[in-house]
Amino acid sequence: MKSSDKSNLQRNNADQFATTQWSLVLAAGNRSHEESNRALEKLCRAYWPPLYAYVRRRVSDVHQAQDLTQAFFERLLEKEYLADADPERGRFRSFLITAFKRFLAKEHGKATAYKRGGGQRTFTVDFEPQDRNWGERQNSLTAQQIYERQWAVTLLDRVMTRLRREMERSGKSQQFHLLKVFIGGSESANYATIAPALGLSESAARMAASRMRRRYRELLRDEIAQTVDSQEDIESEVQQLFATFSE
Amino acid sequence: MVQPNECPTCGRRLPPDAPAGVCPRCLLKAGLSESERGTVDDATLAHNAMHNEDQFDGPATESEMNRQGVSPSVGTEVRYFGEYELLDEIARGGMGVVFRARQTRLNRMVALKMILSGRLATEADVRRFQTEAEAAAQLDHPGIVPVFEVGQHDGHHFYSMALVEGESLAHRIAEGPLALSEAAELVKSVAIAVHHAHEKGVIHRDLKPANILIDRDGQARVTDFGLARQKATESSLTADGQVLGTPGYLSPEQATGSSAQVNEAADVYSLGAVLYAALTGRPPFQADTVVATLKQVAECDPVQPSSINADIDIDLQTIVQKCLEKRPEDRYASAAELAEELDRYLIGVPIHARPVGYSQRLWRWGRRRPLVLALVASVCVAILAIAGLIYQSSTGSVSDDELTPALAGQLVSEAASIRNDDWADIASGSTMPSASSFSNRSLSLILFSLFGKSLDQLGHSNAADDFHYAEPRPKPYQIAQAIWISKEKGYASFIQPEYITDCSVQQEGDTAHGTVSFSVHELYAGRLSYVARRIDGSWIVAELHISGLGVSLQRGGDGDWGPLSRSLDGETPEQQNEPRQVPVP
Repeated sequence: MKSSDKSNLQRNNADQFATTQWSLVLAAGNRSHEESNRALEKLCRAYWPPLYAYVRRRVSDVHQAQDLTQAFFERLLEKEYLADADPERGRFRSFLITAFKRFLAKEHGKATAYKRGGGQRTFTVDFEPQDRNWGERQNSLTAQQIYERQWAVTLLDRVMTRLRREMERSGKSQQFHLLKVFIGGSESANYATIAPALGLSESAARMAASRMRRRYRELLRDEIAQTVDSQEDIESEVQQLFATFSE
Repeated sequence: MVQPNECPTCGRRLPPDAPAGVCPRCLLKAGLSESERGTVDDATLAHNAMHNEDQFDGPATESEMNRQGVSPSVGTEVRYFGEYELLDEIARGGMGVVFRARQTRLNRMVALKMILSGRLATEADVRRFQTEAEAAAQLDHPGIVPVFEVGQHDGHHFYSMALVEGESLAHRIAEGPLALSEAAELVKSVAIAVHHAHEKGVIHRDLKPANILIDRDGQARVTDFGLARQKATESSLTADGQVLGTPGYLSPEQATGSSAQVNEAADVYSLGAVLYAALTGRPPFQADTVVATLKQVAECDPVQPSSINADIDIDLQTIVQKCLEKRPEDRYASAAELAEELDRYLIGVPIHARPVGYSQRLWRWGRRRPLVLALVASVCVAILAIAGLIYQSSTGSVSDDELTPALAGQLVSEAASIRNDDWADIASGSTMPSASSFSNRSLSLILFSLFGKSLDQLGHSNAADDFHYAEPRPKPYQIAQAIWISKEKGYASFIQPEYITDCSVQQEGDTAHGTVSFSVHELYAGRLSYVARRIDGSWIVAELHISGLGVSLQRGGDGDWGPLSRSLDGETPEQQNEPRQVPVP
């Protein structure tokens, strides 16, 4: 690991912000542009679960919910909605749900048209893992709240996966698994019990956790940067997502 | 106990799709910017307090607590207070009693501080207690004992905080004065923590040895913000001029009840008083009664530390005296400035404060006798001028030149001239090495200053358990890596800026002779010699230094490594044969 890695990441965020995925998509608008098409598809493949969670809350039939989700993304990838002048376009998260609500309003009645077998699917995802957890969802939440929360979980899942892979690559798999719980909060008493398992002193374990927390923050910001079109939006995005978990 | 589907940090239910099994709310909270986290902490604490109110299920606690009335205590049988199992009483003070307790829901040991007056607390007591908890909850720093929860149960206000296993500085001092460097080092780390609090708008106002805990790693941690007041929300708690604090360590402005004037400078004074006590074994002022002590604090000069402990040198005495100045504006401008000054003392470079010489004492005397002031002043000028000349000629100062390969080469060459014997006094004893510990003073000075220089390029914010550093300012060269190699012990200590920015040190190889811990504070302050030490507090830095020294350079941030290293004993240990390490021509 080079000391310059971190500063490179920071530099990239600052100077090359225009090249993050969502800003690239926005820049291309509804024109077909190879790189932006790829970026949009990447974003859709990453962030379809929140939309699916949203529609699951609104539509009782699972298959219909799945069909609607797939149909929406197919349309989106054909860039049907990107030309819309929309004040919410600054963030992919807001854009997605706004476009989806419009889509539902217009298309819900024609849902049968999307039933499977109706044509070749161009956007396919595995709904099973999402459905597996569905029963646990609190029905007291609105569809919008479910969308926001699922968005946060999806985002965090990507961040944690990146962090885990990074640490695995540098032989710190065990550190990741034992210290990950301390990213969200450090409780000094527990380092003492965990440190021996890592072959570290208590304070070294605390420092490892601190380093991990710092890297997590960088990755979180980098991941959010992909879905917003200005650097300024990153901090407020973290705040808004955090707010969705406040009761 | 923590339920498997419950977040151990916030106690909320974990969703089945929690990212990597970690609570998404806590992850997002950790992702907030530092300032945002601060405001959230309060809300979270409040939430926890309410949350726990709903969950109180401690058996027979309330009637027991009621029977105890205003002074809850713990006997042989186990008592519960809400979800806390009270184990024993740790301390009792003017306002509260502190228990060692187990938080049953999270199965963690905490220190639980409860207001003594319980249901009978006056509104002012309650407000003071809440202020304390609020102030402490805002602070997130390794040198400050963190507050976990603040709440109220059955009329008793309480808060829980980390349980620090160790002893208080008061206890340590009771056994006798500390070694000079140990005292300086300790107060330095406390000053850094206090400065963090000041940056958050919190003044401690009751710094004293009993409020400084030393944990098992030897890290000093400030606790009991019992009298802390947030600057932003000026409260009237002390509007009546009521004196709060411990007389011997109180600042003159607190002793005279001028509450409007109490600011950061009061804490700087108390830090000086703590240093005084650590060096001499007694507070700067002590008399038979509180009133008499306060009178001394306000009017008298303290007995010179060196007349109590002859080992105390002029620099340290000067630092203490500058802290204990009666007028706040004559003290160090901030706790950080004090920390930096102690740092200079520790590494052996000239301190900035000038000794309180005869001139100054005469001037003070003259202040009380204005008629002879003019005559005395002229004498002062003459004495100061001469003293300054002598002082400058007797102390070398480290060059402020930019670090160049030539200078680094010179360093490494000098390293080779050190004989192993020179390290022996440090290797054998438990004395913390400082510049004066080394026979080869010039090398240690340059080494320290180099690292000081390297670290100087890294700004830092006191972000508690996490450290953020600003991007290094561009300089022609910075140290990329320094390695201390002990062939005999079979391991090397690597210190690299990339780790320093994260405040850690990587240690590789066999550590058979004992666990080594690395002190965060000292690291970002740049004290190489304090980097490694045993858990039991004895310093082993010299052992790390025995066989080899490697210094790598990085030029201007373009990633160009210029390695320089030298084996001290002529045999290059294997660790030195890394690609970046080549012998100095």
